[in-house]
Amino acid sequence: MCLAIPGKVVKIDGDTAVVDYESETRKASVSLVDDLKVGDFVIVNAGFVMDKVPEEQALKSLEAWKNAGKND
Amino acid sequence: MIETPETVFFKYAYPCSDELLRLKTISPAQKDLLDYFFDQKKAPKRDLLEVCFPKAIERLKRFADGDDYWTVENIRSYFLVYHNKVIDNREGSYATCSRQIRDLCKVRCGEIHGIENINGNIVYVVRYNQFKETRVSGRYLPDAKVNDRISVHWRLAIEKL
Repeated sequence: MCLAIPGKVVKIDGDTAVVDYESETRKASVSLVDDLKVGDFVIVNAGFVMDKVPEEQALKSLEAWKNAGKND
Repeated sequence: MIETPETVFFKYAYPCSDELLRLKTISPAQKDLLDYFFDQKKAPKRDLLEVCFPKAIERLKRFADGDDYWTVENIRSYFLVYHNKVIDNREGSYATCSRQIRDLCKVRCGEIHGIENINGNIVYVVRYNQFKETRVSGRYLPDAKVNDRISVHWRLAIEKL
């Protein structure tokens, strides 16, 4: 049940990052990860940025999710 | 929170509810209900948990092997032992997700070696073994102390062990 769609950090304000998911944006605390930058891809869960995701891996995951949606 | 099978199941499963909503596995109304119960430090009834977390329930049943699967012992053992084996065996949706996600999904047990307060967020520095240390949120378990042994799911401290 745990899968996680990556999002892209579009803004960081203090402890809070704004993460873009194309269809929506979400705010998440950055207190668990170091050296986060705008443009990084991240996994967010329960209001926290859980980890950074390498860009290539994130784009691959997003593509897979889009394709899965087309097959619904 | 008085410990019941529902409370134990809910504290381990709730961290996945954000993702279930994003995946449209649960509806916004169901997510609101789960959030409400979590904020109230209560657990929903079994029927709601069974509807919202069907895959976990299915595995919980399998783990119970014919016995009553709604017991505190079965649920805790499932999350502390069997859950990670399911991930390592790449069952179901775990077959296609990255190693990074699989690692985050695993339930880990470790010892608190430090506590930080980052802008009001309690963060525990948890050591899982001699070499690996990570920072986890104390949002759901704010009263743990240094040297406490805790379980962690999705970098969230779940319960003292």
